[in-house]
Amino acid sequence: MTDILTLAYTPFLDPLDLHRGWWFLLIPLAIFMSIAWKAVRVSSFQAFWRPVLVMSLQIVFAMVALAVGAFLVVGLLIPALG
Amino acid sequence: MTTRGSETFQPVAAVLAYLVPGAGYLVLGQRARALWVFIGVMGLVLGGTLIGGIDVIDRHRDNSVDGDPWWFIPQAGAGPLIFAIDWVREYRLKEEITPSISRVNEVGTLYVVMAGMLNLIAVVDCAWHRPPPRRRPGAAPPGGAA
Repeated sequence: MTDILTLAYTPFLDPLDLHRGWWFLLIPLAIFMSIAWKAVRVSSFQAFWRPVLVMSLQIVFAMVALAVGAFLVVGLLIPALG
Repeated sequence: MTTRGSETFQPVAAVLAYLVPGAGYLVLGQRARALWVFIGVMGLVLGGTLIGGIDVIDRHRDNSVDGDPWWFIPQAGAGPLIFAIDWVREYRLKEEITPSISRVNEVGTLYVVMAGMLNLIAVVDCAWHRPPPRRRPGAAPPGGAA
């Protein structure tokens, strides 16, 4: 079944089958966002990868922290209160 | 990014920046900035349409059936390419595409939304920008410096 689905896959017409690992897609999203944002903001493009890498890591860590915070509130705090 | 006080209104750069991501900076003589803006915005557009298929760009969505059509507004910030993809999806490939659902659709939509919003920031930056450096006759063309 998987082979049939793989053969039938057409890029850009069919979505990727990433329903289980969709959250990995945050990493390229953070990288491309950082490239576009830092390209507008920086004054020099020497070692351009450095601010891009820092901003990408900041985005990923912030999203992980938000996920942990949401889990603590929704999964632990609210059930404990209720 | 320019220093405050030296900016003037650059309508041609702003229009070009909307039509093709990064092109406004080319007019302003900033080739490196133009290239990286293009890579960032187009990477998000291509990434989003690869992840969720071109179904993630859809201004004809019915809110009660397949989601919110309002996502198209920030997506449109990435330029005419978004309108072209939407037209092709609606009038040329509607029968061939597989509708994306759930997280894959949401993440793909988010990619293109971020592309549109970031390109609008680049458009605004080009619209109020330091004028391009004037070249003296016979002088070498400026390099890729921003």
